[in-house]
This record gives sequence, structure tokens and C-alpha cells, in this order.
Amino acid sequence: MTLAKDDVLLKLGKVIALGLQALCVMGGGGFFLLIVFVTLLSQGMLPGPVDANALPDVTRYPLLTAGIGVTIMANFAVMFFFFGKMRALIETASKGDPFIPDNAQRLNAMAWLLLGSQVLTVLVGELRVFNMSLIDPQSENTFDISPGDLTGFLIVLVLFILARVFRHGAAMREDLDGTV
Amino acid sequence: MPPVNDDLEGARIMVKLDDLLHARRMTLTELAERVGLTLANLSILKTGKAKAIRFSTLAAICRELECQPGDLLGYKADEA
Repeated sequence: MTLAKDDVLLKLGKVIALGLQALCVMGGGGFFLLIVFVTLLSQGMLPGPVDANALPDVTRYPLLTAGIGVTIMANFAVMFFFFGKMRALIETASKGDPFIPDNAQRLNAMAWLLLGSQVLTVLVGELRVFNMSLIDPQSENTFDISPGDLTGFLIVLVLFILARVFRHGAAMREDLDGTV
Repeated sequence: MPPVNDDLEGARIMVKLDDLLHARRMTLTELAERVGLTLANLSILKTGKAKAIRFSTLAAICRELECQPGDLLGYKADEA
């Protein structure tokens, strides 16, 4: 079975994945600059307020803020690789031969990457709540996970299952090759 | 008579398509048209590169060449 090379959905998927990779680069770069800025500002290495109380809240605990920033950057990096795998997957589908062992490995890697991203997202939330509780101990900051937030974990499960389906499909495809 | 399945521990399935075509004075292209297979696929079978053959393919070839599956395929154990 050969898929049409001009499949609109696949083309759209490729463009979206590429766009999201670009956003990951921009987001990661933005957070890197923010971390540098916060660090320099908190160390008084930038012209600005020297009184600690006059600093923006987020810079009051620079190490924690930098930690949040690094975690978010790591999340962007993880998602960059995720969308890279997704692009490669779409590429094979548009060439009409998606049932190959490489795609099973790609889906498996995508599942692990998304799982990592989900864990990092939870970590960012917890760190942010911790930071806010340090800034304002009186406030009641909580990081709640609603059932809707579990969608990501559900997709991870689906990806792991799809990886196995593709592994089986690739094996079947290999059997079919050379059958007349 | 090219052997196929040479990865199966010495087992050899011989495809005698060349001999049958020669005996019936038929070309591979002609047979491909009659059985509805591509010339490339039939060539894979003829040269012994096929890993498997469908019963439908076997039946179509036997029908067109007026032979039995045994006339087309043979088994030879590896002597080495």
C-alpha cells in the first residue's frame, strides 16, 4: 500500500511539527536568556535596583528561579527531539513505507520523550509553587493535577502501544517482502 | 533452476520456472501478463530470490503452464 505523496494531512503534520520545533528553539533560547538575566540581576551585575526588596519577586530566590528556567529549557529540548522524531515518522509515511523497524523505535523514543516532558512539567509546577510559597508564605499555593492533565500520560501509553504495533507491522512487512 | 530459502539450514527449494517456460516456449513477460503478476515479481520467483509464494500465485502459474505445483517446485537438501 502506497500513501499519496501529496497527502494534505501528512504535509500539514510536517509543517506543524517543524513549526513546533522552531517554537521549542525560540522558547528554550528565551528561557536561557531569562536565566542569564535573572542571575545577573540578582548578583547585581546589571544596572538596576540593588535593594533586594526592590527586585522582582522571581529574582528573590535566583537559584530556584534558575532551576525552574533550566527545567523549562530541558522540557523545550525534550519536545524539540519529540517533534524531530515525529517529522521523521511523517516523512516515512509520506514516502509510503511507514511499517519499518525504525518507526517502531521512533515511537518508543517519542513515548519516553513525552513521558520525560510530562514529568518535567509536573516538576516545574512543583518548583513554581515552592518558589511562590517562599515569596509569600501566607498564600496558599498548590499545584493540582486535574484529570485533564493526565491526557499527556495517556498519550504516552498510546505511543508505547503504537510502538509495539509498528514493531509487529514491520515484522509482518518484512515477511511480505519477497512474497510473490 | 535457482534455489531459494538458502537461509533455512541447508534446505533448498528449487524453482523450475525457467525449465517450464522453455518447454512451453513461453516468455516470462507473457506468463506475467497471463497470471496477472508484475514482471519484476515473477522475475524474483524465477531467479530464486522469493521468500514465499502465495497459493493464488502458484495456482495461476500452474493453470497457465498446465502443470502441478511439484513440476514448478522441488526440494533439495544441502549436501554441505
